[in-house]
Amino acid sequence: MVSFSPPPSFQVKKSVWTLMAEVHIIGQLSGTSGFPCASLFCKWSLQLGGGWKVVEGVSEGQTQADQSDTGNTSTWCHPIDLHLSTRGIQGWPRLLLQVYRQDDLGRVDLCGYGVTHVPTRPGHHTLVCHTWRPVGTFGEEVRRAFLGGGPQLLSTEFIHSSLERYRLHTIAAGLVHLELGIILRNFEKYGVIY
Amino acid sequence: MEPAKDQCAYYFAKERITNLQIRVSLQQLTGSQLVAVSPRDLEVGSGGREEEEIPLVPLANSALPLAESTSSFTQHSVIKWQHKLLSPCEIVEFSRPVYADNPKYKTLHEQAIKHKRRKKRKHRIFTYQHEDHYQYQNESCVSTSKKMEPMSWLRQRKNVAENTAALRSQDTGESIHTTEKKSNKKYADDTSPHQQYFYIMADLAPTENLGETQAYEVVLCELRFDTQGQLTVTPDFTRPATKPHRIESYGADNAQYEYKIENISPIRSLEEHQQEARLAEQLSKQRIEEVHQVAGLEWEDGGERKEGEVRLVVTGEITRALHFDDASSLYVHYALYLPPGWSSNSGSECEGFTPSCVVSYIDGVPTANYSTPFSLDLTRHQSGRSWPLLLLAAYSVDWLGRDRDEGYASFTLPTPGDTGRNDDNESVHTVAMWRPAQTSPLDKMRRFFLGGCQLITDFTYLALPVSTQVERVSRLGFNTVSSGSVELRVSSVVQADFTHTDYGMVVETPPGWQISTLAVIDAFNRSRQKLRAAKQGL
Repeated sequence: MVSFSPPPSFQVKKSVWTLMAEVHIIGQLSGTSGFPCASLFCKWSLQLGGGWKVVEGVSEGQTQADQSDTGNTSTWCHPIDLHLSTRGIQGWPRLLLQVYRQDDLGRVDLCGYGVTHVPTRPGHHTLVCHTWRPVGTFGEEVRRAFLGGGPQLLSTEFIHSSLERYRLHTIAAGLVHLELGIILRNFEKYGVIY
Repeated sequence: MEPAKDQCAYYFAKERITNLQIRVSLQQLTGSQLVAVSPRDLEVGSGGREEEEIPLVPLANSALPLAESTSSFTQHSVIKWQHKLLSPCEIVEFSRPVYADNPKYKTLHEQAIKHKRRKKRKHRIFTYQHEDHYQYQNESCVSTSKKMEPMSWLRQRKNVAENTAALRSQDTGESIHTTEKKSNKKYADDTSPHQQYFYIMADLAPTENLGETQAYEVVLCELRFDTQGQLTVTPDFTRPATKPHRIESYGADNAQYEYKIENISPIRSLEEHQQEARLAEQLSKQRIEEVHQVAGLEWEDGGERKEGEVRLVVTGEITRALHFDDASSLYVHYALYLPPGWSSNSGSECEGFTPSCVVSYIDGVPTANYSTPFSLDLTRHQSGRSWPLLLLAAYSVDWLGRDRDEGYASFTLPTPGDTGRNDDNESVHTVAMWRPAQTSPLDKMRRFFLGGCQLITDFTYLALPVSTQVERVSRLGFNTVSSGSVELRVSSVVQADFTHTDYGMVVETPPGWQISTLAVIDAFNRSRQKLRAAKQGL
């Protein structure tokens, strides 16, 4: 819903214009679905543009490892609570997710990478992030099926930057579910419509 | 039965806890005392006693005759925070002459010698300070199951540095720890790690074996104080103690012990309270200022914008591609089409490729997951018209390495507030794709065996540009066939300078109905005045 705020009057004091715009992200990493049965955990981190700053909250973390009992879903309910402030609207924050698994034979493996951007509208959002994992040669895939330890990315640059992404060969993995509540502050003063 | 951890209590202290004092009473229960305090006995008789009160029967004043001649064990101690009391095993260990010259253990050695010389009744209550690193032995279990936790280096990375440093210093007496001598201090200083542990223990070995082995040590109370000022006490000591806790020794004598823990910290004077309150206020004010400073960044426009210019910032990702049946692996090429009057600012990726993804069947649907982010930063000048488009093309790579076109589509960048039409996933837009069709069977076979792309050279077939002279667009004769669809999740934000544009409405000519109402009222008034004048004239 587009909302127009009334234009501020010209008698406005200078102090109003130095108020920063802030974004609150309060939510949780709910869980996954569609991954093969194993104990899954996720490493998540927040990626910001240049003009953004984390005021309060931790911007990266790791969930617990959860083994699914019912079907192929696992549940983390890992809290995400962040307070960001920004100088401009470019470089909107993104969440980088890496899902690993550890099964009962003790194999630790990469299960998927995914990126999802933080919604720009205030309110409660339910997000689904579709993940992928890199694929190796046929021999490596057979080895991964029996022993674990498939190919992993050497640097997380490939996930979020567009420079060399075409060199990747990937296969689809499961889904990660997130629930985020967004609160925006002071964006109307700068004429930003969201 | 509740898990034992639930008996712990949390207290908050604003500063370091230096005046914490705890009194611990440990008593061995003899056979007759056990009978005296059994619940069955309470119910039956001896009317004077209340139900809740089970007094610790002091040894000397026991009304019941004692069965054994040997006296049972009783010890009361008053313990302060991080107050070191040596255990019987430690007394034996540290009184060895090998510790006499070691500077680190010198004080402990002297204490041990003193204890041995005194030769009074045995002490069973002792403590482990934070430096004794008992927490690493105790903290390893998270549940009551005996399942070994698998070694996972991924997850232990955070604590490895701390653990190895602690384990290295645990070699008692073998190697001299060359780091700071602060470990001799009894009270912790501000450079201590996150949590400080303090254990009150008891050694429940049978009397003749006291001091030989550490196997009989039992934790009576565990205190943990972390840097936020939170003190965790397990089990709690301020609940009104109904029954003393009972523990059983696994030694040869199968003795039963009871212990009680009380908090007898001296209360600070009112002045100190006020001082502390003032200090806490100061600290919180400082913290609020800090937060304001960090968050108080000046707004930067990121490029000058003249009047009437609108800035569109789009963040999104190409999430996945669905329903591409006859492709083995797929990648999507996206390019931005800007109508005239639009320009892109720095930092926007106007063109890109997704990784190529093998198509696999998830829930019966051939899917390729991309999750490829893109961000666009565009400015529309005053002369700009229309709205930019994202052009998408999907290509498949087969096992011979050939590229083949699978679909083309164009996607209008959404305006702010436009949620996708996908029900279960919001702000997801599904874009259906088509590809140029092969009409003759020969063409179809050629496409199947040889592959190859039929690239669209004229992109107006995807999206119609605004500045077209023709008034009627005809695509007659162009055959296409539908292929799969691509999902994108996009959010957009618009920034415009509204101060210079006057959006207020000029209220000179009110809307139609108001004119007529006013006119009617005017006319009525005029006619009434005329009537009056006419009446007066009569």
